[in-house]
Amino acid sequence: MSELSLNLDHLSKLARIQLPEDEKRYLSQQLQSIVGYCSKVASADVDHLEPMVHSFEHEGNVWAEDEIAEGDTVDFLSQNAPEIKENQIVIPKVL
Amino acid sequence: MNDLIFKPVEELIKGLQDKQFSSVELTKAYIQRTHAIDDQLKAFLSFDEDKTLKEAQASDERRAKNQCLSDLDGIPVGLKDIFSEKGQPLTCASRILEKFVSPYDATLVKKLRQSGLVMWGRLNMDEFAMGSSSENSAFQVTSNPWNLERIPGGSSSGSAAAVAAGEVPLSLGTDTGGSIRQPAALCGIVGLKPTYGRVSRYGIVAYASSLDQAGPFARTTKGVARLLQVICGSDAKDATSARRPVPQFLKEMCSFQDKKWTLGVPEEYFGEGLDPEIRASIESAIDFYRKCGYIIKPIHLKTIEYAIPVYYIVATAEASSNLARYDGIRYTYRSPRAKTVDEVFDLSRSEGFGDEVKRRILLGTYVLSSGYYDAFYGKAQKVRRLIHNDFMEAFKTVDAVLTPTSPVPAFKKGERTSDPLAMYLSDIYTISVNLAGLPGLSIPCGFTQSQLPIGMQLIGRPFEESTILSIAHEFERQHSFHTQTPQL
Repeated sequence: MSELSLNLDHLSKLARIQLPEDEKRYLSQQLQSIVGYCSKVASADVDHLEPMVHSFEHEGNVWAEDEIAEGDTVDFLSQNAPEIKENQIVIPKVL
Repeated sequence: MNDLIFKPVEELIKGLQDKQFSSVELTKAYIQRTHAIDDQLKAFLSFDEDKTLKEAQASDERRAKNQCLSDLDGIPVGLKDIFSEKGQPLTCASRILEKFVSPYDATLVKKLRQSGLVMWGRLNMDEFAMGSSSENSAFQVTSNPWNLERIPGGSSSGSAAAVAAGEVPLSLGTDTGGSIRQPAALCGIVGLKPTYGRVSRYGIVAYASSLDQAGPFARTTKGVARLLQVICGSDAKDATSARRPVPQFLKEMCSFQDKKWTLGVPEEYFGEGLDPEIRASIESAIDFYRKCGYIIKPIHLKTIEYAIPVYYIVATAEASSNLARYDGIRYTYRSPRAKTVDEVFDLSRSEGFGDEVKRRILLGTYVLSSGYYDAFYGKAQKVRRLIHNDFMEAFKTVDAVLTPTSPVPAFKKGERTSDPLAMYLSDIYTISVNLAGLPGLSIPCGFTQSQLPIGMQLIGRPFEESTILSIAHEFERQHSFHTQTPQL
């Protein structure tokens, strides 16, 4: 297929999602049609405009005092991890 | 007690105050209703009856001591399965979070507790709030209470269906591109997306952080105003929650009752693709307002043609970043096939996410990737400003904008699942509102010949929820669409 389907391998690596071959086939087609539709933004005359990152920009930045507060505990952070041993999250050997 | 389940919240409040029934009795009526119909409707992903009845019991005890926390003390509310409620499951309708249990309360849940509401159930949704029909839920497809072969809208599908079907009087959902307003329209109830920043996002699973906003569903505008009051306010745990005072919505909307507002009707929202029965209903609503003495002003919002492209660039870019956290290490699901760390990432995500979530992560990765960033993401951010400016220009001469909520009534299950782009078009009228950060509301304004609800959308200036509530209330006072109930 075209350029995007070649890139799907690259995209799946970047996104850390392994795609079986059959999924790749239909995802590639669907993504091409969506990207094609999204390309419509190219025709907008917006060179004179600033990018809008957020609709909240009028509210300005928010500052907080740098104070010590009760934070997240080990129990709190680890209770949903798939594998726990001695209060630590277990993962396969890295090195 | 079965006669209670379709009562508007105003009557439930009075019934509790007058001791016609207790919170436990009221809550049991909804629990019984849920047991009776949810096998067909499939609005609930899970519920904890004992926990809910304890909350109702606690409310009755407060009432007995005259220590009610608010008018809504003792009223049940359903939660989309996206809000953290301490000790309760939170799946976001995804396999990847199937066994997740919330370690803390979202700020909004904390506020519900502080006002004494009784939390009933975890409601179905499209996976990670990505979808318009509930068909992207990893667990079940919710039916439309008006026609079980049809979808209820999405992504807050269960939240809308449960209220419409009398399983709960109030519920909460989230809206990133129309996920409160579209299901409210398709299920024939009221749903409001507040101004971006009105409600803290702390404890709500993130999809697209610059667009996500939580909001209420109810059978009436007053019900929505009351629940909105509970959940709004600034929060130190969300830097994007607005640091500004929250008005008394109900009081303000009632005080606006005799105002004759100027309503903008954008020509571009009545073009190709709009169902003729919906067009006719919206046009008769416009006539109604004209007869009431409102000024109806034709306006242009030409940027609608860019709304869906910009949304699917911005939202997916943010989603690809937000959903990177589901790595097979911290959040419940890890692929049993994974032997190496790389496989923990790649296989857990591949097995844990559904198709639509994968599509959006890949699309977001694409528009942010080297070589495509400027053409897609950079450009979309500029077009987003164009859309924002378009609305702000309109609001110089009108107080609110009136449009259809959805171009079509509830469609049949399976009708759009093979064509994602066709599904995306369901949100054509709602998406710009999120991109511009505005408040938007959908109220019932008619039925098709085949008895499917039709919704009308009102869009307001930032932080002017009371205005659109008041305009909606004016319509509601003189029509009975919101009092009709599905045969289920």
